[in-house]
Amino acid sequence: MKNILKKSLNRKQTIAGYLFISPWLIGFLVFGLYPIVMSFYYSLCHYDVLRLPQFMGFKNYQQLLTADPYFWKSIWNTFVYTVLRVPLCIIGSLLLAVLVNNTVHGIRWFRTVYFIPSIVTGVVLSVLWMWMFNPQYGLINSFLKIFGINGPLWLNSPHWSKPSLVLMGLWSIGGGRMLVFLAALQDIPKHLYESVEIDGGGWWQKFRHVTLPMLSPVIFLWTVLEVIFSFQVFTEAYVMTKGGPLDSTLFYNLYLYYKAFDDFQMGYASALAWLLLVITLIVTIFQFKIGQKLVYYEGEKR
Amino acid sequence: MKFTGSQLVWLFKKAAIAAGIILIILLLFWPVSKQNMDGKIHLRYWYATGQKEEIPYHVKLFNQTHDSIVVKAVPIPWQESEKKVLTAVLSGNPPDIVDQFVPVVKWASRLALIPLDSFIIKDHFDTSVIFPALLREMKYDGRIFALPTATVSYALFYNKKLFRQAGLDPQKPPRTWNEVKEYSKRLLKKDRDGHITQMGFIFYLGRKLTASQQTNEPALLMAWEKGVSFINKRGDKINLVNKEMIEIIKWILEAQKDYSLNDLLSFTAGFGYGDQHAFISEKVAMMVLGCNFPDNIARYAPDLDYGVAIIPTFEGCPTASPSGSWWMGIPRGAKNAQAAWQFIKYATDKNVQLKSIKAMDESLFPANRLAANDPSFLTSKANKIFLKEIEFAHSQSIVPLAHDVFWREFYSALERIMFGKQSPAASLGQAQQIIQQELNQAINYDHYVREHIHFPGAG
Repeated sequence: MKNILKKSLNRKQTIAGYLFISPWLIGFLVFGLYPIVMSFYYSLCHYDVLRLPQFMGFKNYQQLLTADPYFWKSIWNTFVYTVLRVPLCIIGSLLLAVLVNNTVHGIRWFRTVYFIPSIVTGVVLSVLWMWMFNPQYGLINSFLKIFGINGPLWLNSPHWSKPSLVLMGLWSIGGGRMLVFLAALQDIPKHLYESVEIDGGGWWQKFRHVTLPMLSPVIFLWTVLEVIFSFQVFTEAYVMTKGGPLDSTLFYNLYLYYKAFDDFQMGYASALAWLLLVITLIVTIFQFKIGQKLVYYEGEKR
Repeated sequence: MKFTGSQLVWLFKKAAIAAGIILIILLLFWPVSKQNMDGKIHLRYWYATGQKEEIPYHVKLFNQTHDSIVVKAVPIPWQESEKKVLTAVLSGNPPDIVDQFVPVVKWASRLALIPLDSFIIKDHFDTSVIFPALLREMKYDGRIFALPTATVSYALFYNKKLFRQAGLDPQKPPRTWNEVKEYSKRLLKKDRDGHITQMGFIFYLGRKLTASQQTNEPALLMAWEKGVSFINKRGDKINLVNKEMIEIIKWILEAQKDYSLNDLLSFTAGFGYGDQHAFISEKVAMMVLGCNFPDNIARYAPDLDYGVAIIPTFEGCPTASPSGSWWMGIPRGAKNAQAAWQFIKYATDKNVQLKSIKAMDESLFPANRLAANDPSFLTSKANKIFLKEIEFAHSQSIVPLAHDVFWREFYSALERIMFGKQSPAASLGQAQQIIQQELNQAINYDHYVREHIHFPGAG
């Protein structure tokens, strides 16, 4: 008798629990899970949103992988962008963090100054940099002209367009990433540096044998995140170059956008989105495999 | 933590009260259609707009003159307008009238609009009052899906001051492309380093990075005047690679020989909006621009000494210009189609058009021929030229079922040629193949849809 009561009470508790999380649960099912499942279904269809989906099996995927030159072009563009951007961003933020970690008079002011650019983002930033990159009147080429250098065409050149966007990405090296590095730097125990000093090591030994290993989890985290962010690059290309010149800035997400919202090929665009998920997943797993060998976690035994 | 029975009951009560309150709040803010409350028909009119949110003049006029129908105008930012309206159509609660600038066929082919033919026949509406070139753009599959209200007509703008400086007669704008080429040679200026500082006409190939250079692709204008059609009559075969296109491109490449590609790119990259526009900043002496461009001239360079002329042609060809109008249509699922048609009919009336065109802050052209030919509208010499160009306007909706793909590929193909990546034939061939592939799929899908659903009025 007591047991039965306990059981039914347990059930009541379970129901109450589900009721309490129901706002989230409903939100997740309706606005999270349902769209995800449907987008996979649509990726197997020809669908223009306004009419009905026509089931095609894996034809979209087959066409993407075998008959769509823009798919490979956009993967290549995104890959080059990522490879150029991620190391520069990480190293840039790291060096800046080391720099502002110094205890110099007025360092707070410098930290603020380095952080300020990262407040401006998105379309505004893109428009601003279009002016910076202007080959005739832009700040960059005007500056280069002082030294007698004839600046490149930047966004107007198929060779310089990707590096231009990478350069623009460095704008925010003083942002959140630097702050996290800075916090991690200040967490490093002083005695580790002191022991390097006792061993007769200079700043390089300190950086190489204390700072880097102690920061490795944070660096790893940001590398994984930045790779994912780079895979999703969109705004800059959409606002500044529209994928040109010569499709040199046709990034994966930009192509996806064209397919979905210009051509209304939602099925094809969904297939693109799912392939991006698979690619991101593979790259991230690969990163974790490498990370295991390079990253040092405090308290961990090797 | 464990609950006793009474606690649970208490909890459920609280939850019920909370749910009740939420429900009441939801009901309070639920959009109730106020229709029939005053016995009038309330029409929802969504118009795509740039900056101003002022109620369009024809809406004000209509509401003043009609007792039983009230039109409520809702402005929608034009970048968002297409997505917003289409989402509304999809949700089954669209506005009664849409006022748009995007290609009609793109919507009509996806059954987002209802055909107007039955209304037109019933009311004996005379479609010949609309410029034929503009009406053609409203048609898909033989039926009319919208009516144009206002349009932009294009012509050749030329800078008289720069003409004089180059020793050219400012009263004699070029009539042929070969003349444009000759004039351009004389108008071309370079600085000591060899960089271009001034050009006559920009013979560019491919899509442009910087906004507001020439609005129109010379290769496209030339193709139209030579009578090239990029798709066959049945609408299932793309024809990009043809003798005329290749001749045109070779001619343009020849015209570009006076400067290097790098110089051209560097020069054109310096253009922007407003007073940085190539024509307003007097960097380019001849450009094909719209009839609304004088607004910008008045704003940024009121003293600019310029003339307007017919768009040049190759010897013996008729002039050609692109068309693109604002149009009104009734979305699929609209509740008050009949009343919406009344409004559309009213907005295309001659006198209404004359009044509303005058009330606009942008110099557009009425789509009603009678309004455009009215002496009160044809006051300037320029307007007479724009009027002539409208008669020779060509639709930019070339491949209805693969509209955006066509234009992306067309410009990419031209760009590859200009950058010297591919020969004209190879580049156009590649584009043709991709567009054809997309078109085949779209046709296949279209057949599938027609077999499986039937929308009222979709035939």
